[in-house]
Amino acid sequence: MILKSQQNVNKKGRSLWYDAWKRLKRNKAAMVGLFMVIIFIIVAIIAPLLAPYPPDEIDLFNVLKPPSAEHWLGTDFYGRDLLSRIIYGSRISLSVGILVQVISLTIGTIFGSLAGYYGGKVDMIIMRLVDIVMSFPSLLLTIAIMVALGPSLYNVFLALGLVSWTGTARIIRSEFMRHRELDYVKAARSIGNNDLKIIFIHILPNCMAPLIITFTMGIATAIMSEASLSFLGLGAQEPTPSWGSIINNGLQYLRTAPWYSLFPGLAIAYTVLSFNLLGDGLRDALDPRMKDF
Amino acid sequence: MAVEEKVLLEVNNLKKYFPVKAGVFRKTVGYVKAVDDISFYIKEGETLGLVGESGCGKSTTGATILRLEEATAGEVKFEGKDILSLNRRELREMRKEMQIIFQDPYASLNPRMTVADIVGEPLDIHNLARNKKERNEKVRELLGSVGLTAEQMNRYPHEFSGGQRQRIGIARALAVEPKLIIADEPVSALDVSIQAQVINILQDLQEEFGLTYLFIAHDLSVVKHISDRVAVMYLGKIVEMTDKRDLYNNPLHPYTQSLLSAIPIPDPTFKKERIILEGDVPSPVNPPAGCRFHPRCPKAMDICSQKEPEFKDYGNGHYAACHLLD
Repeated sequence: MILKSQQNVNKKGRSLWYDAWKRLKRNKAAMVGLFMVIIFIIVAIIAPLLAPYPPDEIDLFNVLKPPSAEHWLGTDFYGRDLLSRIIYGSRISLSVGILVQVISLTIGTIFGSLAGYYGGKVDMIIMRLVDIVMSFPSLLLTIAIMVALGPSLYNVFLALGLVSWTGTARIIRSEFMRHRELDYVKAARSIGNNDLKIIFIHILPNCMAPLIITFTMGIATAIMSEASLSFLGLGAQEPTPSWGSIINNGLQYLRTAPWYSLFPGLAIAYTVLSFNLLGDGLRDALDPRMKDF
Repeated sequence: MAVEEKVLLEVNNLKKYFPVKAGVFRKTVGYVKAVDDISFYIKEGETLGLVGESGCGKSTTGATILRLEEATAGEVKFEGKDILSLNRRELREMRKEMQIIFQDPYASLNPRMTVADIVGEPLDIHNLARNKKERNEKVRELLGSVGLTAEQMNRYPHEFSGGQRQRIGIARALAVEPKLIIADEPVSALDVSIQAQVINILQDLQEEFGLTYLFIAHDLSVVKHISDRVAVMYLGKIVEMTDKRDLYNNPLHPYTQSLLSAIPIPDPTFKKERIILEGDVPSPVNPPAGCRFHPRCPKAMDICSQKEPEFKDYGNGHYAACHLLD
């Protein structure tokens, strides 16, 4: 009986993704992370339904109110509802996280795969570029790019993307160096594939595991970086409700209205924790060899 | 080399050196002479066994013939056409004529592709199937010819055993209907019980499709079973090449003699003299002067360390390179 049902599953073909999902499901911390991430994404999507007030509705009679029944998390110095602002802020964080990772993974994957696949001079030039970018403290470099481009949310995407691709490039390069020597790549060449097909159809799908892990972990980093930039006044500008800028605004009232900075700070901590938990779990599930990193 | 029958593949003075780089500036400080001036030929429909210890350059020879590695010097002729001078497009066409089967069935199949895609990919690249239906039909046929069933088409490589994977690799090589197949130690990673099965499949396919094999192995007993002629390699050179029967009954080169004496005989009462070689294979970066085998040769003479022996015909196409024979 058992044997029969197993064979039915086998007929369809059990991909490696299915195995990874089964491993991930067994990991409690990762499932908690996944649950937290899903909640975060849902909140960002249905923000207008959840928020009790419009995020930039100014109410000068209720300035800097502590948490109460009307304003669960209190109000800021314009009397805006902090809960609403934090809920809307999740949209900024989510889009920063995803867009920055898309930009940085695209650049990193292209450079990393070319360097790893071709080696030699191509590798030398690309890796020296990586070294140059990496030799600057990343926040400093981001600030420099932001200053050059001008402070706006779209420039945050660009600046963070341009700074954070180097790690991906290194990971993808090392994966390509390992895979290009394997027999399945030689086989692909011997049946007449060209380099482009070998890179994108044969090797890259085998690098999906580290890419997915980098993507998930990178979202957390990008959200932190955006918060830091907004905190420094270089990111999202008023009245856009970014968590970093709310913390910055609250800083001057830290003694009299500590909830002002506390709640957006907790929101950042929650999000970063959730993506890191999920990322760790994904790493264990997708690539058991990477556990030690 | 003068040959009467139709020669499918001719290799003349093939060399493949890998540069050894060292230091901060990656300067080339020497070369690994993996394949150093070898010549041989394979007649249509026959199997040439290429044997030698690991690291002697057998696999590099195979990879260089297929241009998976670019040769340093020499000539590889397939049906009279020089393969090493082909441009990219011509090479792609040539890929239909020559295929390879790899040693490690766990590394030679892309783990993210289904069996149908692995076997069907060569058909797509060379436009050998007009539509999806024909492609699936052909994949089914190919899998059938190596003893796999159509139900297994949509599975992934990790769901198969080593022997089954190796057969998938064979089906992939067959997809383009090649004339020559380079089998790079196709059974040495398999269980002994599976080895015979895979070798029988290779022999059946040879009969059915008129294939020519270059069968690379480090095991003389396997080679004895499948080959028509055998070439013995030592440290980047072919030391002896002849008919299978000739080689096993009358080995000329001391290296071949010692290899043959190492084959176990399934008869406990039979006593035979084993020639045990001293020491290890020298480094191919700095091979010994003269005959490369002389530091380990039980019959070495003075001349062996000074002059390299010539690889020549000692009658009936029995080629060898040894000073003892002169």
